[in-house]
Amino acid sequence: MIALVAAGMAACRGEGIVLPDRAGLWRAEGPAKTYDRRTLYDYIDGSAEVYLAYGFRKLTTRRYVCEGQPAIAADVFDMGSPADAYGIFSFERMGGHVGLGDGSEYGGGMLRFWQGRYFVCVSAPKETEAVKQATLQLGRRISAALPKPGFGPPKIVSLLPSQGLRTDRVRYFHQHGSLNYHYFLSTENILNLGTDTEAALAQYEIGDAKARLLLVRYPSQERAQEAMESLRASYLEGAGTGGLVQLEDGKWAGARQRGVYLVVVLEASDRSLAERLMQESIKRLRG
Amino acid sequence: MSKKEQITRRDFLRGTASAALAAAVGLPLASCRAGAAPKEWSAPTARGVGEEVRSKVVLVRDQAAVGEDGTINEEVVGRMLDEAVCALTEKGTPAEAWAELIKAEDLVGIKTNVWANLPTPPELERVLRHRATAAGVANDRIRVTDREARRLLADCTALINVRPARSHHWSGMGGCIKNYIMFSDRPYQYHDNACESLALAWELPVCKGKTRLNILAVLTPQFYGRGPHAFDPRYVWPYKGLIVGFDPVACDALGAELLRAKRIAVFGEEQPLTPTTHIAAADEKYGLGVADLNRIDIIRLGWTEDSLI
Repeated sequence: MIALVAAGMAACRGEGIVLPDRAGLWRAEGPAKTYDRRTLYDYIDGSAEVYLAYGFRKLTTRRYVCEGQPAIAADVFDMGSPADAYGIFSFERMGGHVGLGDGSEYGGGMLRFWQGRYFVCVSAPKETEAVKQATLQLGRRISAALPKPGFGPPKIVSLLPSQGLRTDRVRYFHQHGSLNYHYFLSTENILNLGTDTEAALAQYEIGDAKARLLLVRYPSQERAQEAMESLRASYLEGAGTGGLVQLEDGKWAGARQRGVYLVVVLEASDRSLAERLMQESIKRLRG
Repeated sequence: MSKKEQITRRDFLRGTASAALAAAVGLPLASCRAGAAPKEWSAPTARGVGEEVRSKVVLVRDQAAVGEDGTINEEVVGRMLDEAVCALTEKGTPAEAWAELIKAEDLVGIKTNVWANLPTPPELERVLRHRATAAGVANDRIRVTDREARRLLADCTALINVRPARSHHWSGMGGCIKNYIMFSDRPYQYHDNACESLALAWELPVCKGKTRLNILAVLTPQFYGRGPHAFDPRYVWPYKGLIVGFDPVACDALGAELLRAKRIAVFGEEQPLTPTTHIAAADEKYGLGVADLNRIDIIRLGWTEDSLI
């Protein structure tokens, strides 16, 4: 399953994942440890739910120490699919690609990247120049030991209209809780999101005009239809034939269903942008 | 779930949802429902759910509380705390104020927080231990712990709840309310729906009705967290303050608003974060305290630069 370790490179295998024994002046404090969906809470204090909301399968982790420097943690998550590895990467992406894997970023002593079905985070609680170099070196070695990159974002992301899209603000997820994390819509799951749905949430900026667009793919047309009706009843009261309604704060929202997809403009600063995003999305779904 | 129980973003825009919940989901408070005729808040267990009360918290700051290198000045922090309890208890001297909070015969439990990246500062723990001793409590009758709270603090007669404010993936913010989760033998039971039911931990017999003071340390609060360990050193800043009150919900409501204001100041917009619904629920569902900022009286002491709130 996992790629080979370069000749002469000492390493520790945590049930398949290979993590190096050293990175610059840092050396591994002990062997790699693994956690599954049931035990992830034992390792992550406070954010396991974020990973469990995706298809997380297994975490392999190792801690590295160097005297007089902060410890570095290398965490390799098997997310079950490239789509979900991209999803967890997109969840808190802020920008700053550093050329690793299928997508990456570095900042503040934290390297994040996704590669195939793996999401990798190498981080230290404090950044120094030495930490930065060791973190990037660890990341490169982990990347080299994983299956080769070559994956792109899930198909639903490519269906988002491109004009005005803030690519660093695209979030891919499945569940209602994840939507509310990025954009609070309702205390209840009015879009009927679940493990079997895919959603892409995007931000748009064209000149001074701004909007948020949500694209959801359901497992069946019936599910999409039900979600459309639920959204109309709970959130889009007063929507006209074009599917748009002006909200109480003056912004525009609306939704349209096309097959198994639901296109939802959550808030657009003007009506023309809302209409344009809706029409462009439907056009891309037809294509 | 009926439409009546369901609250959507539009309910906030229409002004038909509560201000406390609006704050929890990071929406503006201005148009939301205000509280009715107020009466003064007294103690965390002294009122019923839905009762309209006001609460009081002290925000005290000192520019010298945290040094350039992050070192916390114990003497300054001690002075800040003394000023806060004087204001809170309306007593003229720290000795009178602490005597109001702690009796010589008390068995005192100081509930701290040991999260590795941002623990309760030991300097603050030492100040509290010293103040309890000064109030007449024997040193061997003062216990300080986090993870062992259920075992070591169970027979305490007076609790002081002290921890730093930080963003949190599950609950939106780790604060005073959440700090009592360690009194439970099953902390995970509070995790559902963004930890909405955390206030129930305050009903556990080992801690119910024992809390004399809540201190939400905002000396170096964390306003945003990333990665599996939810910590990014770029998102901690020297605010150099303490939020002190009898009401843990009011302390947290003010702390959450501070973190939100900082996120907007740094990022130019609100960054995604789990709504702090447990703070609103602690008020509206469980009656633990006041979460509506419109009903919290803030006593501001000391340094005011870049106060944000």
